[in-house]
Amino acid sequence: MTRQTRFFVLGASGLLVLGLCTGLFAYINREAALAVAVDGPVEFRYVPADASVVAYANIREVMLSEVRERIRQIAPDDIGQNELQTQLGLDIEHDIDHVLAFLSPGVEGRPAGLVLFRGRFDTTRLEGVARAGGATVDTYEGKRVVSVDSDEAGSLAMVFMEPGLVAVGDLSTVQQAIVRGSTTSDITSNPNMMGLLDLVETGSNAWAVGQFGDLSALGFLPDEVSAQMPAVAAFAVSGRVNGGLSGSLSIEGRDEEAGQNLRDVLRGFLALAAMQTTDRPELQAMVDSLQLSGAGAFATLSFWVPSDALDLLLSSSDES
Amino acid sequence: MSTPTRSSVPAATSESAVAPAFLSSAWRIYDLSLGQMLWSRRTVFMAFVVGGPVVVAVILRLLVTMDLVSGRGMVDGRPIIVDGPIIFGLMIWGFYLRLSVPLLGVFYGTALMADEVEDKTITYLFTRPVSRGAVLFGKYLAYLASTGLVVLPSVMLVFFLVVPLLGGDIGSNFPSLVTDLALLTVGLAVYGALFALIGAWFKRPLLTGLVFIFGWEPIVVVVPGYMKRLTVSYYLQGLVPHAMPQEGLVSTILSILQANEVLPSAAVSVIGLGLILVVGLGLATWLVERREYVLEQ
Amino acid sequence: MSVPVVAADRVSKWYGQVIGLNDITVDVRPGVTGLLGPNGAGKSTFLKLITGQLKPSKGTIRVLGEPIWGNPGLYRRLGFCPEQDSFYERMTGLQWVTALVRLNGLSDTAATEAARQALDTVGLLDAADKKIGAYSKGMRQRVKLAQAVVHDPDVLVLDEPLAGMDPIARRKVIRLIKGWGREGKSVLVSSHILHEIESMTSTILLINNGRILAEGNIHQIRDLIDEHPHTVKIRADDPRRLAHAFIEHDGVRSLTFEEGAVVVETGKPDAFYGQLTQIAASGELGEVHEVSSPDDDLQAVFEYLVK
Repeated sequence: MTRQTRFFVLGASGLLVLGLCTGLFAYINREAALAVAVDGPVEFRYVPADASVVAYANIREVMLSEVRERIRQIAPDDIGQNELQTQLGLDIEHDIDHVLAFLSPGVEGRPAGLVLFRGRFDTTRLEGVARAGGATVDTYEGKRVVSVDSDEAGSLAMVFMEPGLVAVGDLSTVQQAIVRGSTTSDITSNPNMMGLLDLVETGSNAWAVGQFGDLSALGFLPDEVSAQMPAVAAFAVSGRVNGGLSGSLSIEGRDEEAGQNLRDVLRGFLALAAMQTTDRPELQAMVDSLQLSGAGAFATLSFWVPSDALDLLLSSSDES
Repeated sequence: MSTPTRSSVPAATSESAVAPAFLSSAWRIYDLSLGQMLWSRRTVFMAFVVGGPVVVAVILRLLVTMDLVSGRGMVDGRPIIVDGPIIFGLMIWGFYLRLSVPLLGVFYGTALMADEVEDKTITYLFTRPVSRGAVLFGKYLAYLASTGLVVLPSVMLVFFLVVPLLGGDIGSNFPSLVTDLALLTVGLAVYGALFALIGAWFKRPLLTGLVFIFGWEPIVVVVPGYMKRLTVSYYLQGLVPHAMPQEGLVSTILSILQANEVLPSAAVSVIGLGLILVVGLGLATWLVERREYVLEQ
Repeated sequence: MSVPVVAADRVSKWYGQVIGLNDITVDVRPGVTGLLGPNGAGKSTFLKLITGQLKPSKGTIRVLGEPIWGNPGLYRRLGFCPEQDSFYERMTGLQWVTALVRLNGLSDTAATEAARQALDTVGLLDAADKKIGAYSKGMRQRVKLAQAVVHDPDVLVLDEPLAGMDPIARRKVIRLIKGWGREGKSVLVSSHILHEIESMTSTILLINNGRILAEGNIHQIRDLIDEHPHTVKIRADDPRRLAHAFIEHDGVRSLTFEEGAVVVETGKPDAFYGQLTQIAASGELGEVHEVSSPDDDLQAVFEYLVK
């Protein structure tokens, strides 16, 4: 083999290996990358620009985490899981990758909400079960929509948005999401909400962001509660479930004074928690990990529960 | 030049007393032939065939970066969303499986022995203590390596250029990349074996091969009946649904094909491709072992 | 009697309707044997049958007592230098010879060492790392010889090994071939130039129109050759100065010029080649690049023989 050929073989093989390693790395960290991507998961295209709360959970990663394994050891009977498997052929552990949900101001004082499930579904079976439960199937904008009327919640609907993506919510929100999927007006065009995403910690496999001003517009919060939070403008909470638990809660006050007040309140809460857990070693580690930070209008509370502390916590809860 | 004494004659010593075994011989032929294939007169053609999709991917990436392509549109009044993984799937199907792989197979596979005969260098290989079958197999390995080493990196580049576009995600599509790479390798191997046979059998193998991939295969695959089982693409298509992203246009195209019961199951595909590979190479070896190569003076 | 190196028994070879060899029965004994015949006589066909590249249409060919067709193991003891000027042009001489001898089962290190030695034997070690594409005609002939002898074979089959060589390289290769014969190797060398064959051996096979016309000592036909003029084409830096030197040679019957070459017709080829080699070695009249001989003169001899 000539030197030229050897160089080519090494170069091409190197490129191949490099690509495979990069892809593998991205695969292993795929959901974490999705969780913190500036553009957000691809399902954002179905979330309206005026959404007040958006939440995401990487079900697959959580289900595969050590924390989940510990919980399973404590409570091995996954009754609900088995039922889903039996009736819908849905294995939550393996069939659902992630979930994205949002709330947005609806009509007549009722919030509009939608949950999007990304995974592998037996659509025929899902539809069959729904039909058996009295649901009807219609086509809306080329999508099959399964809906059922409910006195309490109005019409509930399920739609197969695209292969591997199922959306569940009230009928009008589902229909709006279908139309939105083919337009460019979605949550990514809302700079405030996208800015809140920046507060989500890198590597989080569950998070939620919301704007309090808009929360009041949802109409479902009691006035008393709304009145207690006039100083809070927005929040971002994120967590990572793996060997242990870690996460942070970021709150944005309406102004710097509100931010200072929030930090004072949280500081007081931390002191109280510390006092009350002096004789609870299983909680001590978690309380010790609580860190308060922030400046200006922001207050951030972060925590980290290592795996051994988590074991202690779970075993004590099991005993109780 | 030294005096012709016994010591001046090279002594290959006792090592040459034992002729290398089939696989060892094939490996040595591979080593000798790889460079010849990589830097042959077909290099430009090969660069064009595998470089084309990369250029398309770069252009696509630029268009998306400049917001000239949104990936959303309407077809027959229905909204469609095309993201990076879907485009990648279509490129694998359209550019690589249906074009590059058969073309490389026909141009290189039919030339495994023909190039050496045309260049009159076959004499040097056929007057060494290696079986002709090992020569063919070694050259087949060289074909597989030389085409694989250009096709697979090309796919890799296209993957990283295209998949992240329009909301696509590299990590979650990585398994499909691995499957695609495996599928393309299988395609190169099977087409190569088939065209090695055609090269050993027919007097005008290139023409025969081109007729096969551009005439026979496209026509027979869509004709109802059993004739399509006499094509490679039929069995490759059977593996494609398991390799392609199950989304959007690709899914639609495949569902149309499946609705007409054109596609075989994965198991049938694997068996069919395996048979073509083994029979193709086996028959080609048998023919080369028995054929006389008369070099034109 | 010992087993003949090559034993052809009623061998015929047809290319479709064309007869390449016609009912040849011959034994080639150890030592150097010349296969002499004009172009198209069947020399290359015979050598290809001996080296197992072709299968006899009729009859049998055995080399060292074994059939050669479909018997690759025999190539461990056989070296072949083909006539065609074909190579892997992008490889260096060393890479090429090394790659070929590796096919004999040698390890990388042993193959490289054997290749170096073979290139040294044919006087190409200095150019071992040059690409074959950049070799002169003579160097290409020699690198072909190197690949034929690199595995130290018992039998060497050389098809027109001196074609296109300059006089000095020609003399050295002739010396090499004679040396191999003395060492006990069996060498079968083809040519259409009697003078070349004569300089290597006195044992010849005369072949024409696919038949062996005669076998035995070269002196029997020597006189016939001398009655026919011998034509030599010499490509050189300065053909006119060369021609001037040749005019004084008493055997030269005519001189004609072609582009970059002089064509000499001589009645005394031995003496003429001697003078030519001396001139080339001295370098006084410029470099002599290539010496070739059309086979018209030999054809005339054969026409006489078959009358």
